[in-house]
Order: sequence, then C-alpha cells, then structure tokens
Amino acid sequence: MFLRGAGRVVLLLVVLSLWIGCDTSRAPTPLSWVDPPGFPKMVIPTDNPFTQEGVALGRRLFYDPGLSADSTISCADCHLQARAFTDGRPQSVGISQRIGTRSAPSLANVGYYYNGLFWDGRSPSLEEQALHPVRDFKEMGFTWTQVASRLQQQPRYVRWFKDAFGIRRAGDIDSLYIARALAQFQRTIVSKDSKFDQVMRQEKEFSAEEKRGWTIFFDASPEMSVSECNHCHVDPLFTNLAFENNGIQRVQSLDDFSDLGLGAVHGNRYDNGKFRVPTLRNIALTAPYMHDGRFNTLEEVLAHYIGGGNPAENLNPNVRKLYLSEQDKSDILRFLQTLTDSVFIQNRAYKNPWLP
Amino acid sequence: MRYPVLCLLAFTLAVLSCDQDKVTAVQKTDVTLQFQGVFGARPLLMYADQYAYEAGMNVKLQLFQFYVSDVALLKQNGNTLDTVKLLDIGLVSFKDIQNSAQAATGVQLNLKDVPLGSYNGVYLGIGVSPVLNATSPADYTPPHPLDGNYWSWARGYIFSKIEGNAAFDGSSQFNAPLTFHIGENQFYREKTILQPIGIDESHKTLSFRVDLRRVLVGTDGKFLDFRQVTQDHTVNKDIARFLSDNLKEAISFEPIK
Repeated sequence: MFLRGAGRVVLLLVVLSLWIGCDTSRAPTPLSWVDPPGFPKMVIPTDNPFTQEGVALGRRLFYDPGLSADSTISCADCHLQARAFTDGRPQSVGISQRIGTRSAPSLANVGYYYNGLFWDGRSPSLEEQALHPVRDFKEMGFTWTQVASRLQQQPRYVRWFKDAFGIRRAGDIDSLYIARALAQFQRTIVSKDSKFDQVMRQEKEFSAEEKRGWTIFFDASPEMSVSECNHCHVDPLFTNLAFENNGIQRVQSLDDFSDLGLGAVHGNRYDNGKFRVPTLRNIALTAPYMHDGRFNTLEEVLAHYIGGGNPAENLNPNVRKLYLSEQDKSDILRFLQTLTDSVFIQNRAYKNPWLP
Repeated sequence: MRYPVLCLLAFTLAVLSCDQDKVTAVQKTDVTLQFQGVFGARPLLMYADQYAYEAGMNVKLQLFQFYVSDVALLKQNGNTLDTVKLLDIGLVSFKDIQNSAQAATGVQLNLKDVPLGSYNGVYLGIGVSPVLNATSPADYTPPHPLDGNYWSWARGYIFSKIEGNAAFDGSSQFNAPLTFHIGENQFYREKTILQPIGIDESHKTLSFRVDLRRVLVGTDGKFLDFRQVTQDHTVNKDIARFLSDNLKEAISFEPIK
C-alpha cells in the first residue's frame, strides 16, 4: 500500500474537492408566477415549481418531433399557436397519418385546469397528461424508454436537463423529468389580452353590437333574450371546467354513445356522453368545434344550441330551446370575436425555439 | 444555595404555568356535518329516481346544491349564546348522490378540532354570507367551495341551484328541462336550531335532513308550477324569495350520531 492513515484521508479529501469542483450544475432559476387580474389562482405543484430553465426546456421538448417514433410529430403539430394551440382538424393526425379519436383541445390557460385534462378528464395533472401522447399508437407511437434514450444521447439535452432539474448524468433523463418540463411550459400558455380582457380592464370599450352580445351571452339583462351560454362558459376562463352532455349526439339510451367520454373514465353510466366544457377563448380560431369536430362554424354551433340539443337522460338542463333573433345571433358572434387574443397567438415566448 | 429566593420564584412560576396549561387545555375532536337529501319521504337521488310532484307532474333531478356559511355551535353563557364557529363556507352538493348507499352517506363536510362539550344549538347561514359574497373566485386557490358558481356580471355567487327535468303529464317522458339558480344578498337566509347537542368521542356527526320537495312546495299549498315556469335565475324575485324561504324551512336537524 502506498498510503496509510492520514495519507488516505488526504487523498480522499483531494478527490472529493476535485469532484465537487467539477460539478458545474447550478440550482435552476425560480420563476415567480403572477396570475392575470380576475383569473383564479393557478395550482402549481410543489414538486414542479416554475423555473426559467424548466420552462425553456419544456418549450424545446414541445416543439421537438424527436418525441415521436418516426421523428415526424411534435406536440406542436396538434397544438398550433396560430390556432390557439388546436390543429383545425375534427380528429388529430399522428405518425404515419394515423387518425386520432378526438379533436385537439386548445391549450390556452390549460394551467388553470385543476380537475382533469383531456376531453374526458382522465388525467389529473399536466405532468401526468404529458405521458399519454408519446405512448399513444395513434399519436406519437413511441415508448418513454426510447424517448429518454434518444434525449440522453444528445449532449445539449443532457445539459438542459442538468440546468432545469439538477440531474447528475445523462441516464437520469426519464419520462418524469420530460413531463415536468412540458408541464412547466404549458402552464405559461396563458391567453389574457383579448379585447374582452381589455374591456374588463377598462382599456377599451365594446362596440354596441359586442356589448349587446355580451349581455345576451351572460343573460345579464331581463329585458333581453336568454342564451344560457354563461352557465358553462364562465369567465375569465370561459369554461366552468365541468363535464357535460350538451346534446350533440342522438342516442336512444345512455349506453348508446359512440364515445362515452367521462363515463368511460369512471364507469358511471350517468357520465356517458359527457365531455369537458371547452374554453371559448380564441373560439374564432379553433374550428372545427366539439370533441369530435362535428361543427365547422360558430353559426352551426349556435344553431345546435338554439335547437335545444338531442334529448338524453343526462342532457344538461341548461341546454334547452332558445329564442334568439337574427340580431341576437349576430351580436353573440360579435361578442365571441372579442375573445380572440392576437397577442397570445403571436407571443414569442410560445413560438418554436428551434426555428431561427 | 446562593439565590434561594430566586430559585423559589422560578419554581413557583413553573408550577403555575403548568397548572395554567391544564386549566386551558380543551379536548377537541373531528366533527362531520352530514346533509342527507330527501324528496318527501324518499331518499333524494340524482338521475336514478323520479318523484311525483304537484298537479300530476313528475320530476327527475340532476343537480341540487346550496352553500352554507358561518356554521356554528351555540353555547349558553348566562343570558347570551356564544358561538363556536365550525365553518366559514361549505358547498352542499347532491350532484354525486346517485344511489341509495350514497344517499345514506349523504354530503359530508369534515371539520377539525371542534371542542368537546355540551351545546345548546346550531346556526347555519344558507347561501354565501354577504362578507364572502363580496369576494370572487379569483380570491381562492382551487379546489375551494368558492372557486366557482359565480356570476361575474352580477358580482356575486349563486347560492343554490336546482336542475332537472319535469314530465308534465306524469309520465316518464322528462322533456321539460328545469333550472333555477338563486343568488343575491337579499336571498341569504339564516337558521338557528335550538336543541341540546352533546359532542363527545362517540357523538360527533351533526346530521341535517334537507327536503327538496319542501323547497319547491310551500306549506300553504303554493308550489313552483313547472307548467308556468321552467327556468329562473333570480330574475323573478318572487321565485327567488319563495325558494330561499322554503330552503330555510326544508333543513332540519337530526339527533346527533
């Protein structure tokens, strides 16, 4: 033995100090979050707080087609910023042109959805939700082991994961870290600067038609027509985050829905045919409408609700025949246009970071 | 001993402070507020049952909910009643009560650290108290009872909701949707029930019975006639008053379990 006693201790200390000195990872930079005025408080998991590095990494992953089996599909292919993070299709299209089951929902303000994600609410959090599309045969058709392996082989990703989560080595990159980064980025996707918001902040005023549409939408005047919209489409998110049967499917019984929605998640027959009430923010940009994209225009949507929907044991009673004039309809549509947020769809913080 | 007086003083203080702890220590327990819904004599179920109503009509329910505010136990203190606050706000929603087992369990609100003892009654605010009704969902982190059920344009909460369907002809064709939503401070109601209540480790469920039929039907023969009205959201103040007055009467207190 070359070294004994104190010599061994000294050598150990030297090795330790070298090792610590070489570890260049720093704690990620905390990002404070401020909810827009009037918005609810966003629920941010304590084990996945916002950090600058985490959000930046999540954005890179969101736009990286390397998360799909054939490297052709990224999250952003079904959630396009220009369409308020929808894709304009009745059903989304995955790798190898595989047709999905439902229409891609908007991600606007998705960080505020605390009671389940997806049209059927099957996922409890953005972190858990992010795990689904990669391993869905119709979407990205890959495995998390393969995704992690692919990222582990890219030094830049290893560096970014170290910066975001303080991992020690490439092999530490796994689905949980990837999902956490994606969740952090998605929580930043907030639409809050539509004309509606500006009016609420008293920075602008509605036109006469928009104001009338607002009044009918919110059933805010006993002197005007009733639209019942606001029971489900509650501001500022323009969804009450509930799951409802809005009568778009004609069925003989609750067992006959072609897509059971929430009912398939919990096995409760009375939830069959119920889907998440979608946000109406940027609604003019997110056609086609409903979970199956059956309506191409907002006029068709309005016509559906005016008709009172198809009867069913669990049809939401707020969906009932409406008596709206042509002027009423026109004004409601004018009001809905005020929910378009051009700042949101051009926000550089949400754009593809891989593009020059 | 160099400082006998100081030592004696310290010892006395220590003994006194220990004694003080013993005097002020109050035994506490977890208490459940239980609300069991009925429609007349039958358990209230959403979706799964239908009920005979007035004038030959039948009804089926999908939603019945209301807020309770400032729930407190009352304790006699000389000539006054002191209150022991149990709850600032709670949402009593029968939405998920869809079978008899769920109906037996009822809607439960769990409360921590309620002092054991004998009380003389219980107080309920029915609706959202004016103080809390001046807040908005933006003031709360979900999930919270007050994170929804809010009319932004009216700056106030919806105190109660009744939603379902009616069959005018008494059949099983429930094709008349019913929705009644009540809000506004003027329709907030307060209820005091004076009745001996002893809370100990084997009696800690405060159980209330809520009769939805009584909400819809008054004692004087008046009832909400669905052939005349199937929807109102506190536009018709007479309906809002009728329903909120009735809701107060529809809540009764059961013997403590």
